[in-house]
Amino acid sequence: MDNVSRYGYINAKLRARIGAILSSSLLESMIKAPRLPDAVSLLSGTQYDCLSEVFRRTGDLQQVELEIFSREIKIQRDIIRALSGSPADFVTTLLEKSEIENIKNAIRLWYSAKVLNHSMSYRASYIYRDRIVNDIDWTRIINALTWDEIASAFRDSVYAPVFQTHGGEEIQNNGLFSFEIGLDHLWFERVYAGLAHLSRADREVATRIYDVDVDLKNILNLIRYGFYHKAPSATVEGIFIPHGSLYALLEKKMRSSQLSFADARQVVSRKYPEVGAMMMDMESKDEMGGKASGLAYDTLAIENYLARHRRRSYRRILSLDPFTIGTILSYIHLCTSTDNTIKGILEAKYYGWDEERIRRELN
Amino acid sequence: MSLFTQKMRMLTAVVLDGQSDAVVKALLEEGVMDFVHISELDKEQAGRLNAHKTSMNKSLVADLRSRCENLMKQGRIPLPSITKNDLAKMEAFDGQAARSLLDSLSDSLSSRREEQRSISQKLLSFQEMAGYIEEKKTDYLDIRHGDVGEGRKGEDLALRLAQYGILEKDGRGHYISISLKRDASAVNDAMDKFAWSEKPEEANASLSAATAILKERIGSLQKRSDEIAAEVEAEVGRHADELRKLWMTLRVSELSEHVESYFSYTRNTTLFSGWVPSSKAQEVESVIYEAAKGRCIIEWTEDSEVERDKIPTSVSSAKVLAPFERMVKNYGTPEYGSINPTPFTTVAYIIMFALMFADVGQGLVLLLIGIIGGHWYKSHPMAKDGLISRYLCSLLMFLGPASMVGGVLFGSYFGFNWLPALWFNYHAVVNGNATAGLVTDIFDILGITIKFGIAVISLGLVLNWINLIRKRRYLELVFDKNGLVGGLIYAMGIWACYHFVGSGCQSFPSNPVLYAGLGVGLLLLLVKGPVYAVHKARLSGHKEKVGTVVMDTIMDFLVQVLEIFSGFLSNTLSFMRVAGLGIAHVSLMTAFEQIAEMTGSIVPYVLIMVIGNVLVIALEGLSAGIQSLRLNYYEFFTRYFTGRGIAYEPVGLKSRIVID
Repeated sequence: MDNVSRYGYINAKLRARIGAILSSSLLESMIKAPRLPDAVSLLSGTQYDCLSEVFRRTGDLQQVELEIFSREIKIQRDIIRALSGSPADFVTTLLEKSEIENIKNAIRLWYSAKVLNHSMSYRASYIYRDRIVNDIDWTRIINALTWDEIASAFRDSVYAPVFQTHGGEEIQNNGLFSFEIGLDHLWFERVYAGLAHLSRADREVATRIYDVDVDLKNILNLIRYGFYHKAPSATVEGIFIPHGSLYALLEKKMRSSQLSFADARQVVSRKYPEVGAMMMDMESKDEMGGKASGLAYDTLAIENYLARHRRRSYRRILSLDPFTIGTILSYIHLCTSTDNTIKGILEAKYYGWDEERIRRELN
Repeated sequence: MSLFTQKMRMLTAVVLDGQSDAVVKALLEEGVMDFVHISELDKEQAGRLNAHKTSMNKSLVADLRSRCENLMKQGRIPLPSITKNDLAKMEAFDGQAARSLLDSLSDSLSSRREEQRSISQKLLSFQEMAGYIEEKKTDYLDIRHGDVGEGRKGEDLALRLAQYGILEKDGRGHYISISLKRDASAVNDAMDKFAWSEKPEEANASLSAATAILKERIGSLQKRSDEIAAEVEAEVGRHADELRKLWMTLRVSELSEHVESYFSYTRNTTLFSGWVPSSKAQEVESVIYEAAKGRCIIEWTEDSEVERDKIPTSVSSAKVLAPFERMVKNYGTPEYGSINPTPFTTVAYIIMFALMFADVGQGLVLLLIGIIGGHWYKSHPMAKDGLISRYLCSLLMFLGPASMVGGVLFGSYFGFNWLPALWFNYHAVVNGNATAGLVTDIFDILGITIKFGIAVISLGLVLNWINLIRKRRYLELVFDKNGLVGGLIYAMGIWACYHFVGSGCQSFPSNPVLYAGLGVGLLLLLVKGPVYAVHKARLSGHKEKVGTVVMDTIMDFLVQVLEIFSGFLSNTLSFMRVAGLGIAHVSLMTAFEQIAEMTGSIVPYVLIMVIGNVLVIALEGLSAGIQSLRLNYYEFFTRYFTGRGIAYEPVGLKSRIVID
C-alpha cells in the first residue's frame, strides 16, 4: 500500500479535526472565568461538551479529568482503527503511554493506602478500568493488599520486566520514583523498537520527533535531579533515557568521567544554546546563594521554553509531507496538549489561582 | 422573494453628538444597516475627522455576558430576543451591579455544587461495592455482622467508618458493616475501639442484606443528586428576570459599541455611513430623522455611483426556502446585481432527489421525521442539534414530498408496486421486466438523466448570460467558456453526440450547420486573446507586445478548448449518477424483497422488508441528499455563480455579531 492510500483518509480526517481544536481565545476565557463552574460551562457547545455535562451531573473535577482521559484514549483508538500494519502498531505503542500513566496512578493510590496508610475510599473510582491496550486487571491492582499481588497481576504483560526489577521492599523503602522511571524507560524502548518497523519516510519523521522528545525529557531530568535536588551523578545517569541526540554526547562524557552539572550544561549548549544559557544563568544564581523560589521559577522558565520548542516542532510537521505518520503524531500531540491545558486551567480554578499565575504555569 | 439580489443604496448621515445615542438605538431597532467606515469611502475627508474612541471596557462586558449566558444555560433559560419596548426601558449599564448579581448567584450555587460533589464521591464508593457484588467479586468486600460494645454508640462508629463504607442496623437489632478488604486494617482499628463483637451466625444473610442496603443508599444519593440539579435550575430560575434584563443590557451595550466603532466625529457632530436595501431606505431615513429630532443631514449614494464589487449583496428569498438558502450561503455570496440562486437551487435539488429516491412510503417516512423532529425542536428550544438536526428536519419537509411525488411517477410504495406508475415502472425497468412504453431498459433511464443534466447545465449558462448582461460584461458574455461561445460549442456538441448515439455509434451528422457552428465557436475562442488585449490597451493605455499576445492567445486557446470539451462532457455525464442512485435504490429494495420471499412465512417477510426500508431510507436517503448537493455545487453553480460577492451583514438587535 502506498503512503497516499495509507494516510489519505486519516490525514484529511485529522486535519479537519485540527481545525476544531479549542481556540486560544476560549482557553483565555476559561482562564478569566471567576470560578471553576464558570470555566467548565464555557466548554459546552465545543468538542469538550461531555466535560461540562459530567461536571453538571457530579460537580466533581476529578470525574471531569477521568472523562478527559477516556476521551484521549478514544481518540487514539479511532486513529488506530483507521490504520493498518506498522503505523497501527506504532500508534498502539504510543497509546501504551496512557496505559503507563494509568498504571502509575493506580499504583500511587495503592502506595498511598498501603504504605502511607491514607484512605483510598472513593478515589479508586477515578482510575480508568477499561482496556487501554493490554489486558490488565485494574480491579485486582486497586484492591491488592501487597506489592506481590500487584506484580503477579502484571506477570504476563509487557510491563513484567519493570515489576521484576522492583521488589516490594524497595518500593516500601525508597518510594515509587525509580519504578516510575523504569516504566518510562520501557515505554521509550518500545517506541524506538517500533520506529524500526516503520517505512523510511515515517521513520525519519517519527525519529525526529521522538529524538527531540527524549532530549527535552533528559534536559528536564538533568535540571530537576542533577541541579535542583542535587542527586548523585550516578542516579542522574540512571535517569537518562538512552536515546535522542543529546544522550550520545552525554554518554561520551559519562564514559570518560563522572558527569558534573557544568559538563552536562556544556553538552546541552551545543544542541540547545538558549537552554544552555538559561542553565548557566541558574548556576550563577545558585553560586551567589539565590533563593530556592527563584531557582524554581527559572526551572519553570526552562520547562516552558522546552514545551514551546516541542510544540513548534510538532506544528512544523503539519506543513511537511502530509502522507506520513507525522500528521498523526502531530494531532495526538495537539490533542494531548490541549487536554493538559484544560486540565491545568480547571485545576487552577479549583485551587483559586489568579489569572497571572495560571498563565505563567501554562505558558 | 426577488429573482435578483436586492438593490442597495448607501446612506451617509450627519447628526448632532447629543442625538447620536438615540440614533444608534433607532438603527439597532431597525437592524437593516450594514455599516461602512467613512475612511473606506473618502480617505482624505476621513483624515480630518476624529475616529471613535471607546470608553467601554469591552472585555469586561464580553466576560460578563458570557457568565450571564452560562448561568442562564444552567437554569435552562433561553436567550431572550430584544424588542423595541425592551430597548426603550433599558437602563444604563452598571458593571458593578452586574458583577455583584452574577457573583452572588454563583456563590449560592457553589455550596450546592460542593454538596453535589460529596454525594457524587459517596456514590462512586457505594457503586464500586455494589459492582463487586454484581460481578461476583465479593472477595474484595468486607461484610461483617456484629454489635458494638456496651456503652459505645453505633452512630459514632458509623461516623468513623463513613470514609470506608457503611455501618447500619439490621432488622434484628445488630449492626452490619460494609467496606472493602483493602481498607480492612483501618476498619479493624475503628471497630476495636468500639469493642466490636462479630456475629458469625449471621454471615449467610450478610450478602443479601448488604446488596439491599447499598441499593437503598445509592438510590437515595442519586435522588438527592437529581434534587440538587433541580435546585440549581430553580435557583437560577428565580433570578430569570434579572438575568434576562442584564443579558439584554450587556448585549445592547456590545452592539451599540460595534455600531459606534464605525462613527467619525467633528467637534459637535457624528458622521456615519452604511448600505441599506433600497426598499428600506425611506424607512431608515425617517427613523434617523425622528431619533435626531430632525436635526440631521442625510445623503444617499446610488449603487451606480459605486464599484459593484464593493456593494454588499442582500438576497431576499421566501422564508420557507431557508434550507436551500443555507446551501447557497455555504457555497458563497452571489455578486451584487446577479441572479438569486436560491429558487433555482430549490427546484434543481428537489428534482434530483426525487429522481434518486423515488418512493411514496419512504418519502412519507422522511416527511414524518421532518414534521415530528421540527415539532420536537420547537417545543425544546434549548435542545442541542442531534443527528437529525433542525436544519435536516426543515429540509426533510421538502424532500419527503419530493420523494413521494417521484414514487407516484415510478409506482414505488415501500419498494412495492401497489399502484400503477404514472410515468414508468422503475422497478420493472431495472429488473428487466418492462416490455412496453417509452422507457424499457436502464439505458433509457441513463438517457433521461443525461437530458436532465443538459437542461440543468443549459439553465446555468442562460443564468450566467443574464448575470453578465446585468453586469455589462459583454466581452465575457461573448468569449467566456460559460458565455455564448461556450453555449454554442456545447449545443453543437450535444447535437453531434445525439446523432452519433442515434446512428449506433457509426457516424457524426453531415449537416454543414454543425461544422459552421463549431468553427465559429473555435474562431471566437482564437480571437478572444487579441480582442481582450485591444480592450485592455484602450482602458489602460498600455499596449502589450505582439509576441506576448500571440503566445498568450495560443496557450489560452488550447486551454479553453480542452476545458470546454472535457468540462462540459464530464459535467453532463456526471448526471448519470442520478440514474445510478435511482437504480441502486430499486436494486436494494428488490434484493430485500427476494431475501424476504426466501423465508416463506409472513412474519420474517414483514420484518426483513421493514429492516430493508429502514436501511434504504438511512443509507440511500443520505447518498441522494449528498449527490444532489454535489450536482448543484459542481455542475450547476460553476456555470453562473461565482460566490465572490460581499455578504450584507446588517447590525441589529437580532444580529449574531460577536464583539471581540
